Amino acid sequence: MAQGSRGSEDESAESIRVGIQILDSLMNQVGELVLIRNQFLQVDLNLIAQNDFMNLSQRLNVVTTELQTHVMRTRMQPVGRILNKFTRVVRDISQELGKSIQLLLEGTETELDKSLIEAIKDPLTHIVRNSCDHGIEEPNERKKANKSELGTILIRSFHEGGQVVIEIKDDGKGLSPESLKEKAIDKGILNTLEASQLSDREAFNLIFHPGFSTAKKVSNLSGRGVGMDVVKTNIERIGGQVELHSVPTQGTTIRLKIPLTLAILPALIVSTGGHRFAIPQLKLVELIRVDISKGDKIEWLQGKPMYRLRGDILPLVHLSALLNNTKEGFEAEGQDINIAILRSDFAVFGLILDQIETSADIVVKPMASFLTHLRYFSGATVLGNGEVALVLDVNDLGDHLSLNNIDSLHKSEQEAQQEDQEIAEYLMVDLGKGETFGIPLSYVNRLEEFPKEKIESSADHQLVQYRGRLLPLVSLTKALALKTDRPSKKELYSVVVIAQNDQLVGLLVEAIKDVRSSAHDIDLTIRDRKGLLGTLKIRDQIVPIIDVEDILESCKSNLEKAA
Amino acid sequence: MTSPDPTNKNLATEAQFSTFKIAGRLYGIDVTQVQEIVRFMPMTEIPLAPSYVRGLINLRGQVATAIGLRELFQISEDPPSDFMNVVCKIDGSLISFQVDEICDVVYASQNDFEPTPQTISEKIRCYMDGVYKIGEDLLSILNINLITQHLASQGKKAA
Repeated sequence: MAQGSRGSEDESAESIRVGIQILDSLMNQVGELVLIRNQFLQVDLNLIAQNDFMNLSQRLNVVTTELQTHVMRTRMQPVGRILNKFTRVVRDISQELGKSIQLLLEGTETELDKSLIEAIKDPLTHIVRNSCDHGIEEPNERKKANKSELGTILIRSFHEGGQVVIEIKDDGKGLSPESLKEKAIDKGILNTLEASQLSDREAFNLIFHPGFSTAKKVSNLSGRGVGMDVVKTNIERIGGQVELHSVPTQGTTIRLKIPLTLAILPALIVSTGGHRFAIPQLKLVELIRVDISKGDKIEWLQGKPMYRLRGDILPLVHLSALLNNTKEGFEAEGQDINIAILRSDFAVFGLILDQIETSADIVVKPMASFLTHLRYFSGATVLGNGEVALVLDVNDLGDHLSLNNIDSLHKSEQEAQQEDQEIAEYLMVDLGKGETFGIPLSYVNRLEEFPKEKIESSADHQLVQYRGRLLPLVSLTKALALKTDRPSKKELYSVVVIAQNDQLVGLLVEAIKDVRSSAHDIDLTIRDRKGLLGTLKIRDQIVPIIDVEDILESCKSNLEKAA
Repeated sequence: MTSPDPTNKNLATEAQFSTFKIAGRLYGIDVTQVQEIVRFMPMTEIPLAPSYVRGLINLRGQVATAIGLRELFQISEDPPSDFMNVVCKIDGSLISFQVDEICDVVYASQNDFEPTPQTISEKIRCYMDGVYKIGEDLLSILNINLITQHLASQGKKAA
């Protein structure tokens, strides 16, 4: 019943709607480009000063870049254009199947290149149908499972790390890794031993295997075993990724990660063995140089090269050895070695290169169809000097590692990330009696000292004139209800100025010591008084950390009066 | 070779071929399938690719894949120092066939067509449609679709 009416929805596929503003600015930039061209045409290479020529080139560079971004913007379309159509698809299917399903859409305004929008339409339709057909259960089944009879499918789209993520989440019966493995064994895709070694993540990936279907009965819509593998191929063709995660009885989440645009990709140009290669910047973590003269070295473990990166072992791949099928070895011992650390879907590894050249925006051209089986390359590109360079497929290189310790690697990478994130800095202050407290440095605006006579009292509050406004002062000793020997009789007061919501507050302390950083988490076990976040071990010393927000909160009413 | 006035001929039984030589033999490709002919161009080798995939060529910003017909036909004797590229567009991708020497565009009549003789080496015969008798010479007609099919099947095997 739905088939008849759906055909007419695609009529606008070949035209595009572009804001007049974008067109105007495009026109301006093209005008600019013409001016620059005219200037270039007049250039007499024998007469022009090098500086003038450089200026001209720079202007050309600026205009081209702007033109590029604007042309890209004309191609950007909100994903809502296709997501909104699914409301109908879901309604039709749910009526057909006698289920009640609602579709929720989030982030429909996220923009994506037009060609990509067209490319993800079919895969998305398939996923949504799948979710309706064998994700969401029959209403009576749902009732039994203590769920609302109304099944929900949520499609969210958002930006993440230079990619657009489209997440299709249903609250259906979900998939269990075990049942997927059983099914795979039944179908002869895996043997029992292989199945037992699969991680959950790998088990979920089985669903993308051709000929795989978990549906008990084949229906009109799905369960035919073609589909998810086609979805995966289609998404990967446009440089995207598909991930599936599921919790039995809770539902299934499918994530599509799609590059913002196909057209232009920032890349790192490297060379090895006389060949040039491009590595997508997205996959690049960092570049390191192993300085042999300073005692850095490549270590060998079971015949495989490794490098110790900040205490973690990083597996290495020698690119020229890999591509020439030679034994991994280093022709020029004793020379510095360049390593690009790359992140594939499953692993982080280092790629040994002869030379790291430059970064450039590249236009990726696909390989000829009969060469797509070639490993390690995802395409080719034409460099600035007209040379053709191959684009490395980082995921494929990562697979080459075929490491068994992929999971552990993954973990250590996550840990490393955590460490990176959580190196926090704290200001050490003395609150009398030699007791040291820490204040998270992120709150601190300035450190000041005020002479005693500048501090005024108004009602019960202490204030000081500070940069043309009144700065309320809070005594940390009082706020934390610490015991003091006697009121201090100093001539100079040390104040930590805290900025919060455009308001400045001064925290009175006995003395300001120094700034220390720590990668540890704040230990929450000891919070013996109000105004403390917990304790932190910094250089073998246990330091209580002050909860700035709590203190400000508790003084807020007072502060408002004072201000 | 003379190029006869096309208006005099019955076009239905006439075909035009772009001809070239590999190791002294004359081969032809249907002229409508040839995009252009270019001289030697610098190539980027593709590591791990089969030997007949010579590399990638920058053809005015487009990337063309160079296939060495000598390597494909497994002819090893006296390779030329220089070669020419016959560029064809097949299924949207540019493929450049490397040949020794470019010859004329030849009109050939259906009457002169013969199927490929069985005695010709299978390595070459599998890419041929047939043979035209033109004047003194024999023109072997290559079917680029057969070549790409072969390449694709080789690719699948390797994968």
